[in-house]
Amino acid sequence: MGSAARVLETLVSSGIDRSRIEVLDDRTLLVEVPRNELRNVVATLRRLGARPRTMAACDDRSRDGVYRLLYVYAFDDLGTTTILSVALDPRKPVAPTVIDVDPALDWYELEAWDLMGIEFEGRKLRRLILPEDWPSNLHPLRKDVSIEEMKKLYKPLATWRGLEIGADSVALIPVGPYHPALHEPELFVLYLRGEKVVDIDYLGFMVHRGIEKLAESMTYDKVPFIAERICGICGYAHSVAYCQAVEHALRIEVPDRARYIRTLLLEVERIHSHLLWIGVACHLLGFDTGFMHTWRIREKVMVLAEKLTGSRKMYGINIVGGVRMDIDSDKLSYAEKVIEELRREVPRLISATISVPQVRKRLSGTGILEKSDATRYAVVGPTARGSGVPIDVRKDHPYAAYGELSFRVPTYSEGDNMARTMVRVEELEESFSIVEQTIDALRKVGGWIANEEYEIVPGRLGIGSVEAPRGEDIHVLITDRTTPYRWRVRAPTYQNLPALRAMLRDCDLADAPLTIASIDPCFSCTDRILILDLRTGGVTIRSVRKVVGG
Amino acid sequence: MIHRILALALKSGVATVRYPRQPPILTEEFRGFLVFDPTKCVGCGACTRVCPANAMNLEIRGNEIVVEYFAGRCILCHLCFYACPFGALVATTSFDRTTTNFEDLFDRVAHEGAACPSCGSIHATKRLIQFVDLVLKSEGIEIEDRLRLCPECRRIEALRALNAFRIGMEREGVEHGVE
Amino acid sequence: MALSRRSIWVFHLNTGSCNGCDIEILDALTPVHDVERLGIKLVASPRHADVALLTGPVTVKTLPMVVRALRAMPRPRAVLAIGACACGGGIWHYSYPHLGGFENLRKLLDSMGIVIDVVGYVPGCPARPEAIIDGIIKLVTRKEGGSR
Repeated sequence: MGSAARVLETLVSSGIDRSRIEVLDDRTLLVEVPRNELRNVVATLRRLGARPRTMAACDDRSRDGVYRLLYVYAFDDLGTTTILSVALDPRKPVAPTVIDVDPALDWYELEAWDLMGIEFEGRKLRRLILPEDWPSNLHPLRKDVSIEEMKKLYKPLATWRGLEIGADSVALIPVGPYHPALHEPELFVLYLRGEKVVDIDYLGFMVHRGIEKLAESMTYDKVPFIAERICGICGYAHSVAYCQAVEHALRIEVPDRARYIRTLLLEVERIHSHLLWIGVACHLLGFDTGFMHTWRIREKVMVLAEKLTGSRKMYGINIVGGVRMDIDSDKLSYAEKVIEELRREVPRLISATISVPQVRKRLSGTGILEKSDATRYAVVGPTARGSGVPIDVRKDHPYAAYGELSFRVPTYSEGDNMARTMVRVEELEESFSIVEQTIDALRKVGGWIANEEYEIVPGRLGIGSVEAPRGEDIHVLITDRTTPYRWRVRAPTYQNLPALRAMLRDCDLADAPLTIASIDPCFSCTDRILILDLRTGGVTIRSVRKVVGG
Repeated sequence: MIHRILALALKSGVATVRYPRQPPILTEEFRGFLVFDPTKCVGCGACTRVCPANAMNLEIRGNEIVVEYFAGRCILCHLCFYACPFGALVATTSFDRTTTNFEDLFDRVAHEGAACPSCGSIHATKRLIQFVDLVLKSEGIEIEDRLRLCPECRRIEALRALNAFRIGMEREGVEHGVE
Repeated sequence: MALSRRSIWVFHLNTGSCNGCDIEILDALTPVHDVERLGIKLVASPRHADVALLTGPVTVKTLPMVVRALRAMPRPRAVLAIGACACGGGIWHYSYPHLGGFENLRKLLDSMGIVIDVVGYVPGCPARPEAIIDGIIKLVTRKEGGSR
């Protein structure tokens, strides 16, 4: 019995009408849910142990006359994805909120309101992504709004009006948007009592570049390039996720050689990203020796990437159906040599770093994320694996060539900064071994590197997910004739950032930057905003004070 | 602790490459900036269709058709290099287009435009039309006057011809019916 | 090799970049390229900076802060626009929530009376560390030549 059939049975036995469930393939189910049953179905799925992966709002008025919400859940132990599809009134799209039954979907609802204009009953809605002075009825992702129109209707403000958040007995410390500890323009507001953090606000979405709207005007072949530029660190993972979403929607078979090349490059990217993270973490601890050494070693990976693909970071070799450049045996031997060097150098570096007592002390026991909180916020990647949640897309929902390779998923249960560090350190070792296995495979596997004979069928739904260095990237795509109809990108940091509130509570101010960094946030991927009600630790906030530079 | 860090430093030695005194760490695979060869470009616009970033532009300015490579927007994907049928875009490993003058980021070639014999608008470059003539001649295909028209006029012309054909058919049909 | 009689302090100003150019800036600071050997130092405040390293297409949400940061810099102000986004809007140039590169920001700054004395452009996606070094050298040569 296939895994989809097992999930189907579970869903039916927990009270979901069989006639509403459609089996898309052996790993994917589509459930049509009436608006008033949504909350029950979401609660049922959460009770059954499903993990929320993403939620996409679509403007389907031109296709079947409704707005649609697609809730994507995963049963990781069975490797199955369940998609809930909810149709909403085209004149006044209103959906019931589900954040009380599934708190991990908080930002998704705010984003759907902000970009698509879908209202959620029973919760407070605020701007998440767009600036506060954005015209109130202008929702960029609606199909009847064009980019030219938006450029005409909105003129950006060049003056800063000050952030109007304040507190009486709680001290506020703004971190960002330009701050020595951050390399991206993001704004955290830490609420402190004495030296202890009581709460945290994330005010950001400063890197919103309108990618999803832009892609709706680009052909399928050009979108991988834009997907890669979602993020300059884990961009290749995004481009693979996009290609997989199209391939899943259009049922395109990817040649074996292309799958191995993708795997090789994904792992090269993971090595560079984890080394980068270890370096930045050392820097935040004030241990610049470690920072410099890690980046010295990382440079070898950058040169390797350039040798393999032609670019240090934006590999740009993915196309729908495969890859556009082959990797010959000279390059493979070079890669083998680099991995050999890394295998020698990385353990030496790590043991020297860990031998520093200050590093050990500041990593252990700080920024703890309990397993229960990790599941509640549905965190992904090393953040989840550091808290004892053993999820990894490479194992649970195999893609590219991961199904044929052997590797381990390192998991720690402590949930502190040390655990997240050790997960990444051990993943480096696993990545070295995966790269070596892929090199061996590429020496044997021949054949084409791209399948360009496919037919574009409009209206198909596809899901592509990739384990990026920071966690699960998931792309939901609906096809149209020449361009994607709707493309929803969900980066791992989007899931992980809300969990910072749990991690930073009662932690010392000095540990806050490291803890923020420990989830390896990537704001250019995420670009979202979190606004709390301004009650922190029982203190009602009355006065209003300008926070940033006021 | 200290001895481990010292050992690490001693083993790794000096890592710095003294660029610009020393040559940069550059592999021959690097996808660098493109060099635009104006003598080979005919202004067909194939590059402007594939460029994901619109760094290649084709613009009609007065009597001229200007092909423009804006290096400042180029994302170094080299799709135009593969797309160019005339080899006018040369792929290099050069990374240095650094400048303090914004205009230096543009490479432009202005082609003489060919006017439509019917409406007089500029629709293609003379070089492109010459090239098409050459190809057609070598294939032994006769060049019809209609091919000289701009796309708009050609459409009108085609409709007109179709209409005349249809009227002819109808007349024939009517005569047939009378018989 | 001394690049200038004084050392050059740079401030990193990310205006909505994808991180690609930002990690290359960090790369230029770390051992393999080590720009500190040329007297170039990264500082944490725009008030201390001679040159702002601007990456990204200037998104509308960062705009007010970018303007504030550039205004805080002492004259003569120099900006090095790094990467395809900062030079010409990059792959995003058509999209809605940003200005599309430094040229448009400069026009806006001119209208606000904020003068940028020298501007350097480092195209590339992402700009290589070597190109960033070249850019700073050209910018400083121009700046010193102009102020003398």
